Amino acid sequence: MRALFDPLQLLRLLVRPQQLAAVLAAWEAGALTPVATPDLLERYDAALSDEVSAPLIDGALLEAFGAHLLHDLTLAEPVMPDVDGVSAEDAALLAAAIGGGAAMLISGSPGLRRGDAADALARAGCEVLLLDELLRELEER
Amino acid sequence: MHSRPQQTSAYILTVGPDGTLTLPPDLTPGTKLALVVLEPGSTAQAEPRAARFAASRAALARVIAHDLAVFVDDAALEAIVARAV
Repeated sequence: MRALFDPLQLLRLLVRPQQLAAVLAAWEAGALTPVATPDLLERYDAALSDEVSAPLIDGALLEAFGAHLLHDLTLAEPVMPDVDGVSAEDAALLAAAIGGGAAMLISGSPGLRRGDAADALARAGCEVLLLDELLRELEER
Repeated sequence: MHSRPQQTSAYILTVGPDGTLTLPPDLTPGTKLALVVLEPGSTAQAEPRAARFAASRAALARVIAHDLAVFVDDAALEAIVARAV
């Protein structure tokens, strides 16, 4: 199942090792495949290599995780649906999720849960989940 | 005998490491597709992947065992991402 993480949720994951362990186990087993666009990868890099965020993450872990972002996720081109009233950040996530065929968009953004964005994601078969909800879903499998 | 390659416009799609393929939503009947398929059983692909996950597991185990994780609340993380991204 393809999943798209917003940069904040990815950073949350990296500072919570038990949660990261659950996601990596599912990723390794093929139960979960992260998907991203080139633009989103740049945003991940900015979020994880920031002068404040980088020291929060163990160096070896950050390096190992960076290798997964380079080699083990599915890269997709964004596909922007015709939507109104969506912020630039949410639009980038929306287009990446739809272009990447994500079944789950892991984000806490309220803008993705209402209006045109929610409708477009529902049409694409993509569910918006919080990180904790994803973890519960992985536990139940 | 090999035929000469033809040039034509086509979507270029890659089958991801999960073995699935996502078609563009605006695809219409008759559209040409070019597929790049990664061999699922390829040792060259699988071994480095396994090594990468082993490295992550080892790093995570060390962080957990030595309690190296730094607790940062969600509001602070949100502020970091808002500034950095």
